[in-house]
Amino acid sequence: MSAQDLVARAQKWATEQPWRLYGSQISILVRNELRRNLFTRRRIGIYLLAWVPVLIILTHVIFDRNQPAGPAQIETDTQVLAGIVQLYYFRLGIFFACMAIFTWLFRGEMVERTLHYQFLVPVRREVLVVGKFLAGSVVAIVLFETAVLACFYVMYSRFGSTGKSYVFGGPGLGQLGSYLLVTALACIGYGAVFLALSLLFKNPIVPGVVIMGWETIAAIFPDWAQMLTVTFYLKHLCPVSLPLSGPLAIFTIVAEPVPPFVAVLGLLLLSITILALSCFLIHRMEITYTAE
Amino acid sequence: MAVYKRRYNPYGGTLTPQWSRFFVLTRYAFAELFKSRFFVILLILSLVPILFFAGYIFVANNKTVQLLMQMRSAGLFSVENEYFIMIMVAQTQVAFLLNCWVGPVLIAGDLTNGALPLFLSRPFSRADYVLGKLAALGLLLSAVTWIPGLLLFSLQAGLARNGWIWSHMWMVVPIIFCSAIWILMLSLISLAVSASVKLRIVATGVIFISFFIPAGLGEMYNSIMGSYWGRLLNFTEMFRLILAKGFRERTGLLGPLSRNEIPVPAAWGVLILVCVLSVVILNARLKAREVVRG
Amino acid sequence: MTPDARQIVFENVSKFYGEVLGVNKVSFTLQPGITSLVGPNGSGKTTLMNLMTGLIRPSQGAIYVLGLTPQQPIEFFRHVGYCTQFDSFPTGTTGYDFIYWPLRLHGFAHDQAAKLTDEALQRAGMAQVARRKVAGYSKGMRQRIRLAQAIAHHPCVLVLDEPLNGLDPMARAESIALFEAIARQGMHVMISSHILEEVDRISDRVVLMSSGYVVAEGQIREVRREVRDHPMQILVRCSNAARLAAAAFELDHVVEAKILNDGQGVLVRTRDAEQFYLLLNKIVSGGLVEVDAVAPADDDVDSIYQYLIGSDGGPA
Repeated sequence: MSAQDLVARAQKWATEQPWRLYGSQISILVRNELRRNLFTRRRIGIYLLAWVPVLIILTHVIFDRNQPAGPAQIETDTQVLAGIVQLYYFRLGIFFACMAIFTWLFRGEMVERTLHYQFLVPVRREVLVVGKFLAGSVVAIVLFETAVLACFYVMYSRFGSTGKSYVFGGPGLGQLGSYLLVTALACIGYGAVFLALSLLFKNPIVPGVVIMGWETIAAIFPDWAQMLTVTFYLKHLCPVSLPLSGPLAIFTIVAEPVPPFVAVLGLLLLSITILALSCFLIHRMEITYTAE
Repeated sequence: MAVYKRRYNPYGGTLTPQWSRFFVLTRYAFAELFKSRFFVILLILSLVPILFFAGYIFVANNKTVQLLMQMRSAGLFSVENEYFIMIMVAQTQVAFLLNCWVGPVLIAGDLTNGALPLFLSRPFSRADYVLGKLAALGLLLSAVTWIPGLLLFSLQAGLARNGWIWSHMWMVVPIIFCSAIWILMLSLISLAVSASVKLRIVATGVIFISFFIPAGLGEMYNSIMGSYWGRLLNFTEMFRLILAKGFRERTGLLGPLSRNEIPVPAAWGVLILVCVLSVVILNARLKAREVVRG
Repeated sequence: MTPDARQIVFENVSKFYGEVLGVNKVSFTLQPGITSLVGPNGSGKTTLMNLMTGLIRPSQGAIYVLGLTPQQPIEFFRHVGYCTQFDSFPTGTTGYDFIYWPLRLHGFAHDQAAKLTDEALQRAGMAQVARRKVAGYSKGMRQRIRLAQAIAHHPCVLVLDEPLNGLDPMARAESIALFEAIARQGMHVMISSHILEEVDRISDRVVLMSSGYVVAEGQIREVRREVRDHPMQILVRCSNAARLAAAAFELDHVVEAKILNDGQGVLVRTRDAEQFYLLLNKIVSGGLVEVDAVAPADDDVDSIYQYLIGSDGGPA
């Protein structure tokens, strides 16, 4: 079959698909999942994961309100904020929250014996994967973006006009933009990984922690291996580098600098590839609740 | 044809003694665990490092092998307290992984399936139930921590000469006691989490989170507040402090020694506090009734 | 074989769960009407329904429902409604939402989905409690809300796994009337049930299953006729029972003729019912016996079940 035939077949396939229906189904799936999962008591643990740093920074602001708040202190606090985002949020907070949110999308329904309802409606399983993934992404992104935003606000608000000029007249706003972008990308990247794991394993938590180990030690491997991690792309987008020493320095190794747009595209490409794998896996999925 | 009068005859044989009845649960827990192929593989993998450690001890005590390997040099192979610390660190991490897999299977399954009222409606107390499950975890984790630790110690004692055993006998105490506190803490956390969240998959996640997230938050607290007490939330590090003290380690093998060190009693205090908290949670969650909310 | 757009076709379907047999080499074709799947626990009824709706995939063979397969979910599930046996619901959902949201996924706009939801709730008798959370429903209500969801989009094929379980007699009668009404519209209704009396009353045909195999399939009377190991029982209420019994004994295929206790009839067991009816005609036209009623005594699902599967649930 020639390339032309292939293109023609692809075009024919594309025109035959009910894209509008897919779109409306995805939108309904997202709304339904958000309604069920965004503001529920069962999510308290995840809210805490996102908001505890804000509380700690708030405590710091209250207790250290009498300390001098000059430019040197801003530099220190910028480093602290970078540590919170890069070491806590990316390595732990977002990682575990995505583990909880995205593995629950399918595996949770399997555990609660309700997945068959999703499989008995006129929705392609790929659409189901995309809909659920988007819903999970919205939940994770809303939660962590607001938390990062709150951290940023609380951290610099105590500096008054100095803080304001650092944010609006200095590098602050750019850093915030980068953090928000990286947070969203982290949610998408880890989300795709955990969605695929939940379709691959009955208990995806243990493989999830293996992934965590891989994400940590991949820094000492060659570039091509690092490209199979989410943190590889995130590290290139972080606006502030951390002067870490000792074992923690492994979190900051950047083997070879990559332009930001390549990092963004690379992570999106990695996520799409993993989502494609999820689409393949969900076709093999059967409803056998007794095996859970 | 004879017609026999049928009437109820209660069991008149011997019963398992009350004090050891909890072992019935332990026995069945093991039977259930060994049905899982994944668990058997995990257990075998957990013991693989021991082979390497034993191999090292063998080489360290065998000059012929060292000559054959052309690796003979003074001090290259040393089996002292640092070596046993390494063994303990490796095996306690292995125990952590094993516990994450096994712990939720033990209690979460019973709670999900509503089996607890069935157990507790027999001459079997809540303490017996917890003891039975704890014994299953304790025995299992012992099999990958202090038991191989002592075996390796015995191997070294057998191969080494010049009274090595007597000059190092004190190490038996930290091998057993450090393992014991780690096993107790892991098991209790695992059981408390399983009893709280019921679903196995969630329980596994929460056990992981309960180790990693407090450690991360502690570090964050330290960097924001300029303190070092946040490390109290890092249970693994607290255990390593105890381990270092127990093995009389002074070289900084388990992290840099500094003045900003958490005192060892505080480390003990944290681990014991975690154990007590877990017991409180277990006491609150394990009831012979089930509340179904509509 | 070309799949027919009106039939449900199972072509040599097998399903194995590892080494455990689910169903083995199942082949049959179903026409519209009410079909009952009958068999003991673990005989493969639910497996067959799950295979049909794509919840599990066959290890071997193919299934066509109205010429469609579950691999074409958009067309397939517009025509198929499945009320499963799984008694679980999405957390926190109300009866109304449970029906409304899947309808939105069918592509119905809000107004239409709301209208269909109300209609389904009415038909299942659940309109009064629709806004309550499903977690607070009784077993019968949960059964009915699942039924309402399965019929809400007006499917052509309705698959019902033990739909009468947990229903009180009133609700059961209403549900049966609903199934009959759907079947009368030329649709497929596939029911699995243990309540043989009701199956017998409503089914156009049965599929008898045992240990993963289809033991018999077809209209109940046809199936009964095929069961030659067990002579058919015919009850004749008549005036001169002894005369009829004597005449019946003269036929080779009659294995037993038993005069009823009140002496007002005979229970005949015969291997050839047609021949016996011819004899009966002859006797009646000869004026020897006055017949009040003639009825087959064991051409119901219950008897077929006993003969083919046995009371213990295993093959007879």
